Amino acid sequence: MKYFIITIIFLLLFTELKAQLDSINLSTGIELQGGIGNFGDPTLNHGFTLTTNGAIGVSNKSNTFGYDAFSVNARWVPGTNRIGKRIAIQFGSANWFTPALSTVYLDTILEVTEKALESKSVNAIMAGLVFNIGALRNSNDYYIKIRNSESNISLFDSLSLELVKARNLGPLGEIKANQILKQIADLNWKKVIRPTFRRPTLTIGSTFRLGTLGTESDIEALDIFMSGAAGKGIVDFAASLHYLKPIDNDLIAKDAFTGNIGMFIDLDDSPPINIMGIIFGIGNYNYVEKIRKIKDNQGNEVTLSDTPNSTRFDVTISFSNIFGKSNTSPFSNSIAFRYSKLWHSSTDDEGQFVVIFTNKFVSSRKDK
Amino acid sequence: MEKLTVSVKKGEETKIVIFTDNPDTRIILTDAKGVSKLIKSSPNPQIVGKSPTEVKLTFLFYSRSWNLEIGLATGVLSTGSKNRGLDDKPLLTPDILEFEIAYVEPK
Repeated sequence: MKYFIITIIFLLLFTELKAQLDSINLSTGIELQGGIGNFGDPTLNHGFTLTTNGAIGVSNKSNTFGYDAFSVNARWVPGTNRIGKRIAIQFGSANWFTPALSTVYLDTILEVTEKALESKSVNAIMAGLVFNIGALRNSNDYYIKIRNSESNISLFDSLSLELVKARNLGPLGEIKANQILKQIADLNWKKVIRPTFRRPTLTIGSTFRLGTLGTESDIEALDIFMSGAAGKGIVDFAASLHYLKPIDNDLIAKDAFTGNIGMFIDLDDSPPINIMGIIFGIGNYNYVEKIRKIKDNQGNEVTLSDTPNSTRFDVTISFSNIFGKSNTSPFSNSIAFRYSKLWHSSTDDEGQFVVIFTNKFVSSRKDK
Repeated sequence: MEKLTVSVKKGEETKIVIFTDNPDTRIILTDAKGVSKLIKSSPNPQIVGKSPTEVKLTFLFYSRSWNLEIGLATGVLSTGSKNRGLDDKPLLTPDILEFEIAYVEPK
């Protein structure tokens, strides 16, 4: 419930702020709702990007580990030259979920006290680096190049001339001028901005879960990821791969592989554009081996062991930019409905339904 | 709308010079008869017309940021400048700026 309230507060805050800002930044509106947090957005925006994720309906019996439910993630691209705008520093906070032992290990392996232990959700500081090795999707140079390409230049030239002629007529030409402005906006979207959003891009990065800050800082878990996107027309595709490796020996998690692939469809032909996403996710979660020594009926010592793993499959349907405002706003948001099916080697299978809220704020810097 | 007042004798020809740093710009010159024509944008200062026969300039900036300076080739009788934005950003509809040059009798 607290996540939901915090998300609502963010929504209200953003609604308030967006009225005060110059709304010509751009957001691609694609969000891969990954199973281990949302740190792998393939779009690298210049400047500062703040993403928040909140979820309701998350089960505390879930037998997968990692980041989920709620996260605040800031991505900062400090550079502006050809290399600088491809490097991002990532930091934030996310909930690290550790399932209850009874949902992971065989009943016979656990002591009575271990069976009573509940799942834990601990907030962790995250930090990492991201590198873009594909096309930059918010490149002003590319917008200018497309608009002035051989196929588009005459369209924009003639519409510009028609617009000025209509404006020169004064009040008599006002309706005509407004019609031409609308044509220019539509053309800009379809011929210039949307193709730029669809450029193939690829980012690689790693995020670390930091145990504590200051002199005692240590890295307890490592998330290596790769995410990419490409599209054409009204459709955009995005995919991500994550490898999560906890380093802290006290954790029951060993490692996890997860992957997501999503198709995002524009539901409008001109801004504001609502986007529907259909995302499929798969994950494999491995746990550390647990050993228990017991005595059988004859009094012989028997060693029992269990090295469980979980397989997870997600289907998510998301809707982006539906809370007012357009793709030309620095703010974007999405609501996603995710159903997960979990198969566990040592305990019962589980189904889970969650609703995820995502907010994103982009403040771009000068593109030199 | 920006308006420049040029203090020269009526009928005397004066070359209009502009400079804009944004290549994503359309410039349209309208003469006294109301005929409009498109002028190519250039990163260098360029002579785009002659007053008083050509009296109005319209700039359509398709992206930000941009800086614009306008002046006269024959003596610095009047100049104007305008700019918008520090960050480079695309626009759905262009920023539109109009300069109308009105001649007055010298005092």
